[in-house]
Amino acid sequence: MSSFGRELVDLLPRARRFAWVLTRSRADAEDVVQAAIERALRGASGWKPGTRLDSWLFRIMQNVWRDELRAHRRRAEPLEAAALLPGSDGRETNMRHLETQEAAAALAELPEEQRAVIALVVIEGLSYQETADVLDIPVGTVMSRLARARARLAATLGDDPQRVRAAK
Amino acid sequence: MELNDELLCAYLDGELDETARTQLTRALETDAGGRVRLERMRVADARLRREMPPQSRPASDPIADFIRRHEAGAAVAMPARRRWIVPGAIAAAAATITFAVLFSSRGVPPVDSYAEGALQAALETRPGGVAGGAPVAIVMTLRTRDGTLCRLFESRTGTAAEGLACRDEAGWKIVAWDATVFRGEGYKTAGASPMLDAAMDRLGAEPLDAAAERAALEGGWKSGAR
Repeated sequence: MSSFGRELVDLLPRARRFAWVLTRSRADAEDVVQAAIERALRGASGWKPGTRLDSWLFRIMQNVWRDELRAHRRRAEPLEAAALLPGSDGRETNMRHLETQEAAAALAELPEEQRAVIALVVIEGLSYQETADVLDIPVGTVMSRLARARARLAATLGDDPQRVRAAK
Repeated sequence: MELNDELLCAYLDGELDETARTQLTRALETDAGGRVRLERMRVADARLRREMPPQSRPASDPIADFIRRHEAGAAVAMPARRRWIVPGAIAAAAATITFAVLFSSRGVPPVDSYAEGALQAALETRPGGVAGGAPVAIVMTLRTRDGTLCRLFESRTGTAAEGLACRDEAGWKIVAWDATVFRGEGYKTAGASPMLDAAMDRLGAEPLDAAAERAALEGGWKSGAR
């Protein structure tokens, strides 16, 4: 297998994580990854060796998800639907590993634009410029979304659980 | 220097140049509120990284297999996507299993009843695959959170519909079906049924790969924890 193929396979676990952050649904996440891989293999020439393969794949995934929302006039679910927390309404659409994680639930409550920048900068470790390229937005927009998202996450996750509960 | 959240973020992410970094460090010394904000962001970041690891698949990974076969130059098809329509070319290239069965014109039986006749036979015995135009086609086999085996099927007789049936001791029970996925000449609209999506999400149903499906079929559809 070429190094391109090997690297793609190695990227799948991170791709699934990013897809879950975008879609907040295990099934949609799997579909996004699959569709993106199909596009990636078809358009392998669009990747320039020496550049980051992960950013390139994330960009394709972001486009796949955007196309899906547009084609089916689906909307990312409203914020209240962060009833993703297990037990809140009996539905568990999170990836199994993420189902019980408070951090994942807090992230799922953010608007999609903010989730994407958090995933790319904080979780995947991309630079602001790389994130801007993936999402096709200016660096300044990355910064403002990131600041808003971090402020909210700091409020829910920035303390140990006991102290957060006590403060409420 | 005014410590706003954007600045604190840029500091955390290593996006400040040396001068700005020094200025910010100095400003933090006299700004207790800023230090608390920074610390809370740092804690939240650490929790996100720790609690959201990359999502590996424990067993076989159909997408990884696809990449490997593609790289080997094989003409291969992706496994059917659960809810988005498979592009025509891929569907055609797939080892699609088309079969014709005699099927009553009644269409899909009501929810909570058991499949009978040709639908029952197809659910029980046919392997999955994308079958364009066949009277009954098994789209794929899934296993739910509690280990129950289910199959997503398409029926094009009577009222054309896509449906989900799950196996219990009595047979194949219809969980949900939706006729709105077909329009006009029986073409399936891209993006399947929200109703079926919701049913599959509720059950925590995940597609099985071909080998697991074969094993389930040959094993007589016995449920089991995954």
